Amino acid sequence: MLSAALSCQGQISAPDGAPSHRLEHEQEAAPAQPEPAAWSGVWRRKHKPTAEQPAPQQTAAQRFVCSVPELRGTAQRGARRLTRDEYLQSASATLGADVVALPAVQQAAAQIPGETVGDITQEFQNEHAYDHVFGLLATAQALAKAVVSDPALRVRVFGACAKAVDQGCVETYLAAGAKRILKRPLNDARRAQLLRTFSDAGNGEQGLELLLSRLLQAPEAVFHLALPKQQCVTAADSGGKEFQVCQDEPAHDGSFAVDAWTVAARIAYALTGHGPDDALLTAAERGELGSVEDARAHAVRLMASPAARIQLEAMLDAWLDLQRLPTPNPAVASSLGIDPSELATEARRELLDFAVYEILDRNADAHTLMTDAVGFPRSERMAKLYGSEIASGDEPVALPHGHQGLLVRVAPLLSGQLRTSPILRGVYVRKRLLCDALASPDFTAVQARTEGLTHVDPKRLSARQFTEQLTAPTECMSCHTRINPLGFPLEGYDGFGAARDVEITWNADGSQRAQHALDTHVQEANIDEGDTREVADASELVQAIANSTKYSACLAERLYTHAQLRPVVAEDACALSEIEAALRDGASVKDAWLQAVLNADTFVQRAPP
Amino acid sequence: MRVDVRSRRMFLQGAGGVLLAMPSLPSLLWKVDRVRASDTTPQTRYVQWVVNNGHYDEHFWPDNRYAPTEPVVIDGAPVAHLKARPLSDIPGEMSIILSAAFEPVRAKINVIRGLDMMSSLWYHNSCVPTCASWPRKDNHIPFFAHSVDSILEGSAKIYPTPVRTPVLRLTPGVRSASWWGSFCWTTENDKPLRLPAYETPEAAAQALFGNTQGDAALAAQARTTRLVDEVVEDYRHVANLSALGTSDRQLLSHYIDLLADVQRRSKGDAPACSTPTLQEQTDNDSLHQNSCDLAVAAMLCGTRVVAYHCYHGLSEGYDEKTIHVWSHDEIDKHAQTQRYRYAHFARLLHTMDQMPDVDGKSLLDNSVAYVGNELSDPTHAKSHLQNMGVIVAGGAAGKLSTGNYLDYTGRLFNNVFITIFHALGLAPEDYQRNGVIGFGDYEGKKPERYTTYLTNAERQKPLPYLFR
Repeated sequence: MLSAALSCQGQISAPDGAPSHRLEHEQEAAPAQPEPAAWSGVWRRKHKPTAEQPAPQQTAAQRFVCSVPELRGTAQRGARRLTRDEYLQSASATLGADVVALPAVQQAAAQIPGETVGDITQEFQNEHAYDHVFGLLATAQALAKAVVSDPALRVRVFGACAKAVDQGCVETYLAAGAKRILKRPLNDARRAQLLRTFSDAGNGEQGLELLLSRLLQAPEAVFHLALPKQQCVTAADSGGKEFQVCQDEPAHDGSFAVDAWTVAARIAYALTGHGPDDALLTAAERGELGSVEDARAHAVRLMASPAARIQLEAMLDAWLDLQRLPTPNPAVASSLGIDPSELATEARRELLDFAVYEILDRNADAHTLMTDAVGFPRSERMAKLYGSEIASGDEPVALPHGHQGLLVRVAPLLSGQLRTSPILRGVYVRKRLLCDALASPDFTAVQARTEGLTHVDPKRLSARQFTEQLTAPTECMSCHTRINPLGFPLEGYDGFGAARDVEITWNADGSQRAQHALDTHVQEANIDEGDTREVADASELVQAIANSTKYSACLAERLYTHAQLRPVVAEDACALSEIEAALRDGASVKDAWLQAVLNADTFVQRAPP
Repeated sequence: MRVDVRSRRMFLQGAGGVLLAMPSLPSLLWKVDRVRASDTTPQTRYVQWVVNNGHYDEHFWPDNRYAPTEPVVIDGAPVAHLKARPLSDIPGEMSIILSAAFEPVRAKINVIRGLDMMSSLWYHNSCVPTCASWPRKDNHIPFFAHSVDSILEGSAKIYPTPVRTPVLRLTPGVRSASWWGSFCWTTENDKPLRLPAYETPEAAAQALFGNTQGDAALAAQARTTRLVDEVVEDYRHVANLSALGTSDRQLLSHYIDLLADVQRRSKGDAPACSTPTLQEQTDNDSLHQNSCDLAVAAMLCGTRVVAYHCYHGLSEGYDEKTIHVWSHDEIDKHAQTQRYRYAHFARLLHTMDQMPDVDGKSLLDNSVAYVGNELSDPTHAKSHLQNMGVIVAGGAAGKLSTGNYLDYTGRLFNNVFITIFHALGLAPEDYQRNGVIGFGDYEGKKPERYTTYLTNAERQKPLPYLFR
């Protein structure tokens, strides 16, 4: 039964499978032709590059190539709904976190459906359902009521004039303050409409509450809108009074240049998960966000904010599937003297602490992120698994047993099964760290193979031995040559992520059944197509991954698509090729993240036909 | 029956109505004060309960000794592809999964075997047990994205006048945008749209019963109506901007439609009940007890459709990846997770059976409660989506027979849903979508096996004998 579980694991989280618009060069590669038997063994051992050496593929062509530059940026949505988190974080930023934390607001907000805890870039649906709209309405009303009914909050949001609510105060707010919620200024007509809302509701607090409820649900507040730059000219009426006449700048080659408000919102949401702050709005107003160079300082400033750390963690959660880690088998945990409760949560936190430290605090490059042998075990339990000291502050501790980078640490190595699974681990590396598509197996063939092995007791074999037997047929190996070599080197770590010298086979009650010698060596890592590197163990595997073309391309893809909340499409290739190139050239991941958010795409939008 | 908030409030004060006392059940800590309607014609309710990861035959089906063997004779002639046997023939628990929890309601359920889904691929499914449709890619997205609950939600036959919550969708304890989601789908702007569900009974209770009674509710309704009018104005303004493309305009236009729905529903029939009190939740058991009790309260109080996906398989904790691995590698544990899920379904049925409806019969007698699985064979192999595990419970106010173990081998799974639609009074023009005659997918391997049942006439027929 083993292989069936392992091989179809990808399907359970099916949206992390192949995106619907895979780029051509990402299609599944044809299985490599087997080499003549005489070539195997000696020749490879003598002549193959080791993992530490830069692989030939490093000089290979990039995964992403900008072949149609006129299409760049045109796959961005013109109207993208905010997630529940984005909406509430925006409300916190504009009204105050204490307002959003009020029980009445929380009760209403609980009715807005949340997004997936899995891979949001693959699974996000841009459409609203009824519950979204109803929840947003209830939440906007609760927020408005909370603010308006409390004089101190009223003043915080509307200014000192709100002590005594009057039309002048509302006019001032609509002219200046409302853009914090709407992310852009109101034109005269909208402002007049909103003022009528206030006055028709009898002015005073009632009018103010209705007005704020309306603003908090306005399309500019609920969606990201990409709108064009305006060209304005000054005209005069018959009485000589001057006024401005504005119209959209014309589109060129199917795209238009977006206005500075759009740019500000794109940068802010991607980096902080909430709307633009005052400094960014002011820059937009002054027309200071016209180019990457203009906007860079703001992006750098936002990346230093606490919100950026949370946003980066969200990206890592989605990429590495950290919110769906398995709970270790309790019987085995008991035998090993490890409390399994909440271990997955703690392991996730540890990986996030590591990655955010590397990316934001240490300015690490992609290679370092994959290989640095430090960590943040915050408890005795985690320190025991790492064989390290406990990390107590902002600085990590050294991990002495080969744990390193994004892969060889507790979180990705956790298993809920009685034994480790080289196939599951290989699939994880292939799909998550290399962003490769893996076809689902033919389960009829899997079942036939499983039934053909009924004479084999898996517990009498090591996990590797059983996997090799199970996947030996040619039809299995067409995929498993891409899976197994990425899982076998990780056999040096048990299902809790601890280093081991020997594999223990467990019975269901947690008693030991057998011990097996470890074999972590693989002849061909097969990370990139045609990759013949030999890998001895996990340490060499992560070096090979860190040096691979696919890893840097994958990191580029994940940084970019998380900002877009959608899978990669062909139109993204230009931005992605730049980010990928930067990572290959040793740019820091932080810079690559900035580039993923702020690039030429940020300033354009597909024009309607 | 149209009851506005004010008149109902008077009823509750004893100004002319009769309070219907609810049976005192130890597990029902909430209290429902329900007004007896002047109309004693019961409304048929629908419960859609879904589980995932399939089941092994030896765990789900009753022992082969008790398999249906007798052809069913209707109007003097045996019915093709149908055998039946009373469930009462089976001693003890019906099976490992269909545990003793079903005993109080065994006479009111049908265990149905032999129904097949046609399909060509072997993926997991988010819509097979609710839309009879399988995904063409490994992404859960169904080809025919209309689940039974969403069809009923939009049907004027089910809701001639708007109600506040036409469908109560629940995925207790699990974010419904994750994994299989709620198994509830519709199609918007020609694209499949996965419908969300409430993750907590508290949020569901608030949506169902929050602020529906008294003068405050009337004032809130008036505020909401006015607010929505004004918000719609903002959306129309933005939707008319020339810079937006077609899909963006559709998105905003859909939002306007949903705002109009909010307004309609807020003016519609409010639930004729007080807000239930939920018991303290300490584990998955109490979470599901609360959720099920809330579902019953909703059905007694105006909501006719409940969609429920039970993800948990144990009293404590939840780890879908491990549960999935069990479905392949530790099948005894897998059986226990399914037993847990079906036991909660049985408990829901039992609760429904203890709740008297307006005609004096039980809520279960007047309902259709269906449970389906996204897979049949957990290995996805040779018998993928064949012999689907189905339970249809409740009498649908006399339209369904109960208490049977039915074997429809040779027929299509899709007809379960046709049966349900018929039981709820829907005709083909009410449930057919996308130009498909019948309901769901009729594409897949080996259509020659089902030639008889692929004709237009057969696609629209309810399952014989199950449907009276």
